[in-house]
Amino acid sequence: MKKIFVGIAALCLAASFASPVFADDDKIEIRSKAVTGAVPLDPNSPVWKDVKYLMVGMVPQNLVAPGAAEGSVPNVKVKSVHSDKEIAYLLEWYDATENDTETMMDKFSDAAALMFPVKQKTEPSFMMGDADNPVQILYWKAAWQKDIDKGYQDVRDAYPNYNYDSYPFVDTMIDAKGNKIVVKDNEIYKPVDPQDRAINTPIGKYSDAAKGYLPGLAVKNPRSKIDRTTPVEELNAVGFGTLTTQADSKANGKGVRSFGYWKVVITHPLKAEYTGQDADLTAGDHFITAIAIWDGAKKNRAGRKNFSNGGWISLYLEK
Amino acid sequence: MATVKNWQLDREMEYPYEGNRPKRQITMFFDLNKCIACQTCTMACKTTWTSGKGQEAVFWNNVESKPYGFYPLAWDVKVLDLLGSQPWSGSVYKGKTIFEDVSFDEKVRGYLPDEMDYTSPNLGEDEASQIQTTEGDYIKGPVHKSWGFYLPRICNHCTYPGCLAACPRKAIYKRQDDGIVLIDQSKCRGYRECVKACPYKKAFYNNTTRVSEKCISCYPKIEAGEMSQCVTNCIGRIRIQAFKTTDLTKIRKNNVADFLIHVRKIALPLYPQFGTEPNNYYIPPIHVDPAYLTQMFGPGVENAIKQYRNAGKDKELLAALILFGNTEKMSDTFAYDAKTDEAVAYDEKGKEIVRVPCTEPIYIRKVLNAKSGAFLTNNT
Repeated sequence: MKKIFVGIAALCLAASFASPVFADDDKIEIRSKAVTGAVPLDPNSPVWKDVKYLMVGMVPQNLVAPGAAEGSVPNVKVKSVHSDKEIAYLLEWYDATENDTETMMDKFSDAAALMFPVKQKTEPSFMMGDADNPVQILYWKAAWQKDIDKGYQDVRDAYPNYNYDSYPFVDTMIDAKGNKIVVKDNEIYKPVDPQDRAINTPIGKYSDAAKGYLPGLAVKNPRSKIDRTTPVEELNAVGFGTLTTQADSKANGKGVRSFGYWKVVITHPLKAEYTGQDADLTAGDHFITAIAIWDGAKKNRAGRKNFSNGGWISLYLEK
Repeated sequence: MATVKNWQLDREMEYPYEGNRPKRQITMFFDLNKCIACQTCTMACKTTWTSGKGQEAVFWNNVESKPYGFYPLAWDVKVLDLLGSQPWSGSVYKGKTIFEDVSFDEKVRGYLPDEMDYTSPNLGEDEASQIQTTEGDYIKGPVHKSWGFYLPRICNHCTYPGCLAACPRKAIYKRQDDGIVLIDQSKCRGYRECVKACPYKKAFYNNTTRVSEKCISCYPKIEAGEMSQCVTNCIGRIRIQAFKTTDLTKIRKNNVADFLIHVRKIALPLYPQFGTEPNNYYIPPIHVDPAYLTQMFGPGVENAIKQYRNAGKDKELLAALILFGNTEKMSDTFAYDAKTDEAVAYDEKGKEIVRVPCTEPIYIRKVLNAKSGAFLTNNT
């Protein structure tokens, strides 16, 4: 029994250190399986069961400052399926700590991203592309997943017992659902229940005047988007510091926690939605992609991340 | 890394970008001998700019009591500790700045405060440097054995901002017209590299909009030739703002900023050793231990205290100090009118803005109202 256990441990170690390891083929590439019908958005969908995976080794980004001094995600398991319209990727990695808030001053969210060259058959710099070779990025973030699952998170969610007297143009008498409490003339004023304070008013219920006091929202910063419909942001870049959110995107995704693992699906139309912004993928052809994983517990953000060892990885779309 | 000139350190230093001084630089002056920590400036700023959700713990302006008050907690001792003991040699700083000798994974040496560091706006408030043990100690001078003072702080709109250097998105910029440093609210992605890099901890993260924010030096007022909210609301009249000449070969003696910084050298930068060339200038409190003040304001402390003690005789200096808090309009030049014993401020066109008596006139009020017989003086 003991021998078997040691054997399993050795196998696990081998799997985590030898990278990249292709599970059941000798080619180091992500093989996207053709499926009929819609691609699954659910990471636990049975569709994923029969799909071959590629174990991709990850290294800390410290080629450019600010970087991550130490890596914390040694590898990520990648699967992909595609229909004739859409492609889906499933990323699985171990992260002992779930970090799904950006609503606290010193907290950072777990996240994952896939990067593609926009122009066919080019190999841009794997560090955010370059001036001649733009890249497309599909960026999933745990904090946005929480926004989707539980509504836009703000200070009242981060600190449930926090109180603050008032905010400009926000009614002070609000119940937990955000409805105004009307006090009738003949009623004796009673102190507002802590649950019914201005801080509990969801931003979605704010008037335009009140929203004016949320600068990021007022200037439509994508980070302050209160009506997010997808946990995946689609972006373009042509080098460091050029990351730009696409105005309109059909990218979608879903991330779930499972026994210390993040399982994240990212989907995107196969064909480019916008030429010059998106990679145009076709079944039966070879492409490249790069992966990045952020560990919120290690205060990973921006260039402080883990990225696929060697940069670009081959991606083949089966017919 | 580029090499830039930092006149506060009297040497060249490393900075991630080429030096590019603005045409003129907005500067703020604080007479620390006058501050009473009433926090009127704090509230003036807070109600004007940061009253929204997510800005609960954001204080672009704060007043902390020294030596043991901080906001965020222990910000200055933590940065000093990060840098370690660093030497000055006369007016030349021989130590390392936050831009020099940084590790491979950083652009600027700094620390990201813990969220708990923001929970108290001035922990250690009003704790003096030491406990009074001997009766009468507090009135012995000129330096008090037991001391404390109030330190009002806003963003320093540094010539070499740490926040700007650290931002991977280049979402922070310094305006050429007035030297104000701003965070582009539409470009910021909330990485908090600026919060980490700013040694003064004056970049804040808005936890509801999820982007970082900082003092904007009330730029709509500055553009209109007026001073910022924290200056015009100061009831102690401890502050004044003016544009400083950035070309050090063209210093103007009749400009309040140039006069206080470069001519009398009475107003000193806060922690110049950090290397950002901050543009807030402090007149040090004269009763405080000079060793502590030197750590905080650099080697010019002794001269500044000497100048301040001499201000009664130095009429030109007195005139400059008298202008503090006496006008909302930004002055370009100032003068001492010996004939009338008044401080006079002028705008850029040379038009007189304000005239303030250097000696306060005395009125002696009658004891009784002649008509009604009511007391006009305090009769208790």
